[in-house]
Amino acid sequence: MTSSVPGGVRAGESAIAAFLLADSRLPSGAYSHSAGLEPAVMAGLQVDGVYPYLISRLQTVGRMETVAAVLAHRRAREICAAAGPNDDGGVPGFAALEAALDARTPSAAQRDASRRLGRGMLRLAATLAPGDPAVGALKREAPRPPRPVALGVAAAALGVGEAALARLCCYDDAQSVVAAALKLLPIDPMSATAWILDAEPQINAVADEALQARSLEDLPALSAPLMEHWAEDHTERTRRLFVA
Amino acid sequence: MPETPPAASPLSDPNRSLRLGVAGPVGTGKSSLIATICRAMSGELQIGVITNDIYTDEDARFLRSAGVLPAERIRAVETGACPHTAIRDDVTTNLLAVEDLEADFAPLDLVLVESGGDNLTATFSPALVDAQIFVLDVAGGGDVARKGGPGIARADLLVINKIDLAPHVDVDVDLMVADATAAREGGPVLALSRKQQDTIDDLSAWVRAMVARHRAGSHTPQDPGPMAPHFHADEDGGYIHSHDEEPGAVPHRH
Repeated sequence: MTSSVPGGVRAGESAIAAFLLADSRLPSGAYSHSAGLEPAVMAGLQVDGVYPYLISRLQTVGRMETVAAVLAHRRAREICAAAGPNDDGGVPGFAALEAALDARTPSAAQRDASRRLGRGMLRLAATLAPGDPAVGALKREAPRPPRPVALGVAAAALGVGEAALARLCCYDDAQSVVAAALKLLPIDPMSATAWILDAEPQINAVADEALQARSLEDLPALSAPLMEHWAEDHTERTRRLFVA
Repeated sequence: MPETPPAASPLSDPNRSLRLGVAGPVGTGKSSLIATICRAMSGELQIGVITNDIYTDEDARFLRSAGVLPAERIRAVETGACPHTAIRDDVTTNLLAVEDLEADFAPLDLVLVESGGDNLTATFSPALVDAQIFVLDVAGGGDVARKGGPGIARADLLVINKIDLAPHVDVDVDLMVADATAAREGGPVLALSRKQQDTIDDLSAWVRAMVARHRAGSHTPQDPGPMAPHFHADEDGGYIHSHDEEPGAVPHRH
């Protein structure tokens, strides 16, 4: 069994790095994204729809992305292990994972938004952990990675464990929704912050399920057609605060 | 001044343009100034433009419709209602856009990055641009230059724009330039009107010289802000110092 150190973190893992990756002040370009909320608001979503939106997103895009992040994290650890990566059909390589995510994301606008976030995260990881073999492999194999792939690799490079990563992947998306909501709708910031805690049981469930994934077979293909439609509409708008 | 080129010499990457930021309050004529540079210099320099519109792509559309550059060389970046963040504390979005533009139209000589109009304290991070112009206009009031601020005091160039309007808004341009020059301790100040060709020639000459210094590796990006003179306590009671005189100073603890 892995031993624990004070703070509830497993030996060899970094709690500070997990905080860092969860911090909205992290310089990776996330502030220009609303996790699809702005297009939803422009389509008529009101204040009472934000929390249900956050949950819907968690149960669709969130479930898929969290599995992808966990698989990317495992691949990164394989690359950094003495035995090297294992191509036995289990944990996929970065390019295969990227292709599988693309195949499950029919909206080009959503694929593009995810890549913008992934590029920002990869740039940051390459700066913070320049010698990390998995970061180098990601730059070569998927230089414009989707967000969860870059997040998984960055987390592995900085010593964030996969259980923390899975929750982080959900939390980050939920916080993007909440932070954008404050700029788009009349909401008390403290009430909106409470939504994150309200969503905790569902975040935990999505994260725990993702940790069971073993291969691309376990990457869900969950469609949210209305969100995809809204995302596409947004690309043609001239008045918008957020890119997506 | 140190004569050695900076560690990341622009010469090491043939596609690395001079990245020139244009900052200043809303309505002072940043887009117009960029259009003026493009119109005057697109014959001698390969230019690209990134705009940081706050709520619309109005600035990008203005520049495209001005016909001063091919439309595909002008790209807009969304800033999530954080125009200050996008040029200062998290430049990721802009940096990716600049690098994409440089890659798609290589080799570019000059990429102009227009900030979303913000307040007087917003300046570009040297992680994003190599040099920056801060733009004021006479219609904003003759006293603005005297008030100072990091951009006014320490941008590579301060432009006082729309000087053709000065008689209509009761501003003495010579006095405003003198105030600005004093606030900048002698740093360059340019009085500009897009309707006065001699002032456009001055602007072009400044840009041309900056591109040449960048190429030669003799230009070291400076950070105009936001550090103000501040107080250090010590056993003798303390002292005030400013970081202005330490261009190579690294961030440090106090």
